[in-house]
Amino acid sequence: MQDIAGNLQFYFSFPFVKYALIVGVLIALCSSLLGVTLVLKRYSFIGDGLSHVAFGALAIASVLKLADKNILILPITVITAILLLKTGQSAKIKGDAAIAMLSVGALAIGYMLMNIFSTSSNVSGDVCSTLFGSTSILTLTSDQVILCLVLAVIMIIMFIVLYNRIFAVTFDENFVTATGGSANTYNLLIAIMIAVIIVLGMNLVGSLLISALIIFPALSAMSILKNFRSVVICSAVISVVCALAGILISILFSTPVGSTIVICDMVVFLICFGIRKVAGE
Amino acid sequence: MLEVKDLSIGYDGKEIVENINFHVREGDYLCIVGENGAGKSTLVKTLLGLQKPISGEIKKEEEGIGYLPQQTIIQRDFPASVWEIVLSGNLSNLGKKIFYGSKEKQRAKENLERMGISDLKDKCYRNLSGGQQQRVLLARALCASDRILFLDEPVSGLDPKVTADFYELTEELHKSGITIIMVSHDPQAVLEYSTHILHIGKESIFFGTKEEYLKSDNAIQLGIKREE
Amino acid sequence: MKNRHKMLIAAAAVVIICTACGENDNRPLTVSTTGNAVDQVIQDEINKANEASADPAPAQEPESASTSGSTPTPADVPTPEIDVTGQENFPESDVDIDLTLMGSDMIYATVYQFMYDPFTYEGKTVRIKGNYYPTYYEPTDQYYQYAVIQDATACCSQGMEFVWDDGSHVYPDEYPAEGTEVVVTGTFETYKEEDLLYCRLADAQMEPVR
Repeated sequence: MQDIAGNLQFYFSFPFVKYALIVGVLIALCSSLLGVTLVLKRYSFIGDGLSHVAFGALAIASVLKLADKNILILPITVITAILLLKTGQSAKIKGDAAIAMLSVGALAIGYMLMNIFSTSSNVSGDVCSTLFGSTSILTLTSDQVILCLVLAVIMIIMFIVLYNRIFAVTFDENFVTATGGSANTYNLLIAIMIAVIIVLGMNLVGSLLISALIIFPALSAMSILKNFRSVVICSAVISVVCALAGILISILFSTPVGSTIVICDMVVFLICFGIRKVAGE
Repeated sequence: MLEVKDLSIGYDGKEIVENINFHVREGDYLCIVGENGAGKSTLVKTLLGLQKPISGEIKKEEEGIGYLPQQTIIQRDFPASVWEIVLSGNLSNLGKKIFYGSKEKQRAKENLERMGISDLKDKCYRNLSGGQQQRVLLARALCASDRILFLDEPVSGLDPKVTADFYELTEELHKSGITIIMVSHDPQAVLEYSTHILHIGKESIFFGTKEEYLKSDNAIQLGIKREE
Repeated sequence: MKNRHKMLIAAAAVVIICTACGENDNRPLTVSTTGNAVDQVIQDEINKANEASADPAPAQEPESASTSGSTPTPADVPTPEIDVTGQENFPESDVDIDLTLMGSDMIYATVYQFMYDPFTYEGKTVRIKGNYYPTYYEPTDQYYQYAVIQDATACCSQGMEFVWDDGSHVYPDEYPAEGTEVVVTGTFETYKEEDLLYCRLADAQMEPVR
């Protein structure tokens, strides 16, 4: 135990470890906020598709040697989110199939681009990190830290401001439209927020695992709590605790950061699920 | 309160029903009836603004209609308290405000009492019975508008006792001056409560008072009047 | 910003060596040489980088003066205590950044920081543990010595260039066999060669791990 404490103290003397924890906690916080909406509105698949698109965008940004990759990744992901939302509403197109094609397509193209054109000699390391977030949170540059902080804070503020609207649209968007509200606008805002959160979350757990980061805390909280506000607060707490635990465990025991966080989330989910079963609901 | 002129409805540019004309005046109790597949649900969506009409016009006196939807699967396992749901009916009154104020809370409270479900305030919506859920949604609809209510097949899936209770409740609301538009399959209710009827048939569309309707041939299709 | 540093990393291609997943065999590591177009870009980036950071590290002496090959200095003194710069040796407590005490995630992140922001670490004493690999680079006709750190996630390993003492040890006679696990303690420094920016542990002690 003393050993672990000593090690942690030693690691904390490195500024990038502190940044990783701060950024990690904020990303975990904002990614859990929309989890309930994502699950209940059956948007999970959009989240999944978007994360792959974000990976593809990252590859393109690498090839184009952009100074700040997020200049490309953010708009591409946001636009895709809007498009996916539109196709999802249209009865003509098979939404699921379209998203599946888009996401695996983006994945394949992204990996191909990174392999052929990458300027880094560390292709498999890059791929490993962007897909599974093996260590990316520990290798943030100072610009990325600032960008992540700013975006995460904006997302949290947006969520609070839109909270009542998000609730209403998640519960019953037809009601919102019928009573004179603009459900489509709110859906659009939610889609944009999901896209931004996915781009943020890629830094923490990598693009393949981001859906887990968004959905698990929400599912855990939903299985034990009975009103929306407490579910949102609880999933935020679960997400933050799991992210902290995951980062600390991984630097202490040299496990991949992204997977460790997601496994923490899964463990909490199983516990909550167990509690629900025992409670006999 | 509602005036519909030469309305054609459909989806993806395909027309299903054309030449729909009817109006709703304050205090009316309009039932929309018709066979399945005749375009009833498309009409509902169009009236509520969920989809655009192909042509014609819908004149609404006010933007918001208190809407009682058919329950969706999402809502069956939605983690929300009764209070949160009823309060959310106030969204259209919120304007540019971020949070619900005391005015909205008061309104939600009154409507909970009106529906006789004040004791369920902190209960979880998904654990309620079908009848209780319906009352919660009705309280929410009343928060959105206390002048006009749109009920979309409100009793489907409810048992006879609860159904009867629900009609009673609706009738009370009607008597207190609320205009009601109801989509229904239930001839009994149509006959008993409505003042006007809009029949969307595969061949013809009828609109008129209940008395006029009973004299017409459309009533036969609904099974209200026997063929002679 | 980020990209500029990426370019630095690219320029330091000889420093970070990546093996694809599962390829942890003992084949000699090859140095990637960059193409002309890429070279140009890298050079531009480095010039920019240097302007931006006001170049706190004046251009280092070309390594050729001290390494084997072009200037055979038969300083047949194999004792690691020799220290031409006049600095003291590094007792344990003087090591600023000791990677041998870290888990592999931290090692990876720390080495990444070295590459991303080398000037911050300039002059710091660094200790690493890795497998010794020499590499011959034709354009400069030199051997470069690396300690390659294996990564626990099996995705990639990182190599850190070092100069044993003043670089006067004769290659390959005095050096350990390829792949020997060594602990290297040296001063982190950046240097330029062919207009590219590299970093290495200079003036290093090297001890094989037994």
